[in-house]
Amino acid sequence: MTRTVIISHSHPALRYGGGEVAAYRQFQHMLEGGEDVYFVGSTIGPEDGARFFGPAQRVLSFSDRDFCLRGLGMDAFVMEHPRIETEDWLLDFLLALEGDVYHFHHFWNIGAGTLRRLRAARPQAQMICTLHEMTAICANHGQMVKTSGELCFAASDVACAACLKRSPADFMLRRARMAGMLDLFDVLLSPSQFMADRFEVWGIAPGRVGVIENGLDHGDAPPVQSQADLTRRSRRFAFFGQATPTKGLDVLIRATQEIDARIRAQATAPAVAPARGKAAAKPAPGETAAPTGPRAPISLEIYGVTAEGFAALWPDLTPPDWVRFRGRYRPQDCIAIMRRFGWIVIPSVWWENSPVVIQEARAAGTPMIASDIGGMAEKTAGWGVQFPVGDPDALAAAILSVHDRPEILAQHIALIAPPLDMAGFMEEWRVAVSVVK
Amino acid sequence: MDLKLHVDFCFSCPGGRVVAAGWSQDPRPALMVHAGSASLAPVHLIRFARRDLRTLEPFGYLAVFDLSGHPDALDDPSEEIFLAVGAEHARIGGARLATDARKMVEIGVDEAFFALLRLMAEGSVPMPDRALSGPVITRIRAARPLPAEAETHALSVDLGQIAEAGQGVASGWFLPTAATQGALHAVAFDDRQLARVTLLQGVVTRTDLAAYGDRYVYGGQDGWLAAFRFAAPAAGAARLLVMLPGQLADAGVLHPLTQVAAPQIARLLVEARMWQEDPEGADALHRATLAASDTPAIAMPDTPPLPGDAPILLILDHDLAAPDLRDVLRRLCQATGRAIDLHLLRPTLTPDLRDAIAGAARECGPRIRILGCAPKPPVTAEGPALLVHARSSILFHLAARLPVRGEVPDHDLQVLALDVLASLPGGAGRIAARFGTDRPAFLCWGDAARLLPALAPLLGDALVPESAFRQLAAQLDGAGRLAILPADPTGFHAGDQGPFAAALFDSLTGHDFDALSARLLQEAGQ
Repeated sequence: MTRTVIISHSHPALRYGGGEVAAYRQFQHMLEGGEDVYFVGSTIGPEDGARFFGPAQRVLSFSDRDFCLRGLGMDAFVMEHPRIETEDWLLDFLLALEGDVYHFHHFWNIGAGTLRRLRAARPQAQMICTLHEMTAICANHGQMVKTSGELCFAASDVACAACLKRSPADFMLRRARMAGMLDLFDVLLSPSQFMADRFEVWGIAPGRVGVIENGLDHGDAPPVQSQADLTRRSRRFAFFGQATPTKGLDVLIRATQEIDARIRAQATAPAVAPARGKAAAKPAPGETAAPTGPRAPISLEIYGVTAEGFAALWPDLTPPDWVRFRGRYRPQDCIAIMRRFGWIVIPSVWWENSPVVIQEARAAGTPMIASDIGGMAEKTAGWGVQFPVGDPDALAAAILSVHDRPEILAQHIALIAPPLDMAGFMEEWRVAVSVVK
Repeated sequence: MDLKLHVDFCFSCPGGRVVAAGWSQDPRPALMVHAGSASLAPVHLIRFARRDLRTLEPFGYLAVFDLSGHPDALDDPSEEIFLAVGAEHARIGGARLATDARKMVEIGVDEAFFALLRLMAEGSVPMPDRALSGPVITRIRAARPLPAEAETHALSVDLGQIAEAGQGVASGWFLPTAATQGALHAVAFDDRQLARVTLLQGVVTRTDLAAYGDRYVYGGQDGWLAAFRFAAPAAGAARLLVMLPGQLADAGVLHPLTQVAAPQIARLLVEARMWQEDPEGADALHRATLAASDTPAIAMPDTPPLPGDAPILLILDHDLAAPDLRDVLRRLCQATGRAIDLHLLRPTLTPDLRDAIAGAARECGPRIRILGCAPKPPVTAEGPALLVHARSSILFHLAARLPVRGEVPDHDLQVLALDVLASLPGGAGRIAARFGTDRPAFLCWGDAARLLPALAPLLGDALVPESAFRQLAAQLDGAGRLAILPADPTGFHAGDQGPFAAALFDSLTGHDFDALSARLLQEAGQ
C-alpha cells in the first residue's frame, strides 16, 4: 500500500488556518478510507513550543499517525531553518516515516534545505506541494500586497526590494532558491486557477501547477426556502473571518456607515417607494448607487471578531447599531450559521486564494458579496455579487442592490453549485498525482 | 683669526642634495658651494640660536645645496668641493660627505638636528635611509619633548591612529602666539622606521577654541590634519612627533599612535574630505597613506601544472545574507563538480555562516569545508588548488562559467567582468582598459600556488581584497598573462552585506575608497 505523509506548516489542533485545515481534512479522509497515511504538523513558533512542549521535547503525538512538531520559527524570507541541527532532525523524522508520497501543504517551517535533502535521500518518492498562498513569490507574507497597501501584480527583484526595503540581491537569491525548491516537486497543486496563473507569470512552466479545489465534506443540501424565508434572509448580511487588515473588515464597516447615513437621510425625507424588479448585478465601474437607503430592516453580523478586537484595530471606526459582533464560532457550526443569512460578505483587500469561507457559503447555499479580485473573483463568479476591491461606497451600493430583494437572492441561490467534497477532492488528487490507492 | 664660517657637519643625501651645518657670526653669510666649475647658493638656509654658543643670536645655520645638476661633483672622489663664505673656503668633499650625516644625528646640537628633521619632514631633504633611521629615532626619543600647552603655544593631538599595514592619520589643533613664525612639521616613528607626515595646518574650523583667544592667536581655522605611511607594518610603539615653529631646541609634542583597523583610517580620510574645502589637500592626505606606487614586479613562483581535479580555494567576499552562503556554495559545487576549500573574508565565522557552510556540505557530493575566516586572503595554499575569488553575488551569477572538474585554466589569471558597456553594440574591445577605471565587479580564477604569492604584496593598501586582485589583474595584463572577458550582467544585483559593503561614511564603502586610492596612485605615477 502506498504510504502518504501529509505535511503542514501548522497543526489545526493548535491553529485553525485554511492550509492546515485542508491538509488535515485530507489526512482524516484518507485515514478513514483505510489508507496508510501520516500527518505531520508543527507549532508556528517558539512561543507555542514553550506552551505545549516539555524541555527537549520535539514532537507531540496525537496518535500513532498524527504528529505535531515543535516549530522553532523560520524566517519566511529565507525559508531555511536558522540552525542546521533543526533541519537535520526534521529530515531524519521525515525519512523515518518512509513515505512513498510526501504531500506538503506549505514549506514554511519545513525549509528549502529539508526539501532538497529529502528529495536527494528519497529520489523514488513522489513529492507534492499544494500552494496555499504566494510565499514563494512574495516575501510580504505571500500576499502580493505592497507594504504601502496597494495590490501587487507581479514580483521583480527591484520592485520587491523597494517594497520591503532590502537589497535586490536578496530577492535574486530568494527567487532562485524558491524556484529551485518548487522544481523539486513532482506535482504542484493550487486550489485556485488564479494562484496557478500567478505562479506561471512568475516563471513556473505553463500547466505545471494543477488546480484542485480544497475538499469540504458537507451535509444535506440546503433546505427549500419559502418566500418568507427568502425575504427575511435577504435583509440579513454576515461576515465570517478574522480581524486582520487584509480581510477588509474596515471596508465593510465603512460601507455600513455609508448605508446608515442614507437611512438617516431618508428618515428625514419624504417617503419614496423603493424601486422593485430591477435586476441586481455587479454595479458597473463608476456607477453610483441610487441615493436611497433601505426601507426594510437591515442587519450585519460579524463572526470571528469581537467588538473589542475590532475597536483595537480600527479605533476610529464606529459601526452602526445594526452591526453586531458575534465573536468566535465553532468551525463545524459555520454552515448552519451561514444558512440564516441572505448574503455573506467577503471584502478582503488581498487576493485570497481559495478561502474556506467561500466553500462554506456554497455548502450553506448562501450567496456572497465579494471583492472582485483573485481567488474571490474566481470562486464567486456566477453566483456572487462582486464589487471593486477596497471601495466602501461600491460595497454599500452592492449591499443595497440586493437588500430586501428575495427574488435576487433566490436567483443567486439557484446558481450555487455545492463545493467539492473530500471524496471528489481525492479523486481529482489521485488523477493529478497518479497515486494508486 | 676670527673665522666667518664654522662647518660642523657636511654630508650628501640621495638626489644630489648636500647639507651643511655649523655656525657663523655673520648675520648674512654668503654661503656658496663650489664644485668643479659650478658655484651654488643654498636652496634652503635656516638660522637659529645655539645654546652651546651661549648667545641668543642666530649664529647657527643649516644650509641645503642642490647639486642634482652636477652629479659628477658627488660621484667622483677626485672632485674637490668647497663650502665658502666669500674668499673663505672649507674643503667638504671625500669620506665626510658619507659619514657626517650619522655624526650630526648622534652628536650634533639639538637645534641643528631638529632643523634638519624639519627639512626632512617638509620634503626638502630626503628621509634618512634604514641605517640612519635608528639613530634619528634614538635622538628624537632622547630629546626633551614639549608640553602640549605652554606660554608659547597650545597644541593638541586629538587623534593619532595607525593601521596594521603602516598607514596612519592624526588630527588636532594648534594655537601659536603672535611672535610665532613658521609652520608645523611632523614625523611618525616606531622602533625602526621613520615616516614623513603630510600635515595640513589651518584646514579645520574649530570655533570651540575661541576661548583660547585671550592667550593665543585664535584664527577660527586652527584644526590640522595629518597622514603618513610607514614602509612596513609598525614595529613596536608608534608615535607622532609634531614639531612647533621656532622651537628648535626641543623635540616637539609627542603623541602615541593607537593601533586601529584600516577602515578606521579610511573613515577619517573620508571625513577629512568633508571637513576641508580643498580637495587637493584631501587628496594629499589620502595619498600620504598609500604605499609608493612603484610596485614590485610580479613574483610568481614556478609550480607544477595544476591537476584537473584540483579543489577550489574559494576566497569569498560574502556580500549576501548569511543563509545565502549555502546557496552560493551549492551552486559553485554543482557547476564545477569540484571540492571547495573556503576562505571566508569575514572577521568571524558566525553561527549562521557556519550553519550555511554545514548545510551546503551536507547537500553536495564533493567536499565543502571552511579553511579560514579572516578579512585578508591566505598567503599560501595547502596544496594544488584552483583559486577562485569573487563576491558572493557575482559568484552566484557566474558560477557556471568556471572551469569544471577536469579543466585547467589556460592563463595565470582569468577574469570575468560584469561590464555593462561591453554588452552594448559599441562597447566591446575595451574591457581591460575599463577594468581599472570603471572597476566593474568580477569573478577571477587561476592557480592558487602561483597567484597567492603575487597577491600578498598588493594587499597592504587595499581595504577590500578585491582591489588587490584588481591590481594583480592589471599587472598581469601588462605582462600579457591575463585573460579578461565580459560577463552578461543581466539580472545581476550586487549584495550589500559583509564588512566590505558596509559604509565607511555616508554611502561610501571600502570599494569606493579603494577606487579613490587607485586613482590617486595612478595620478601620482603619471
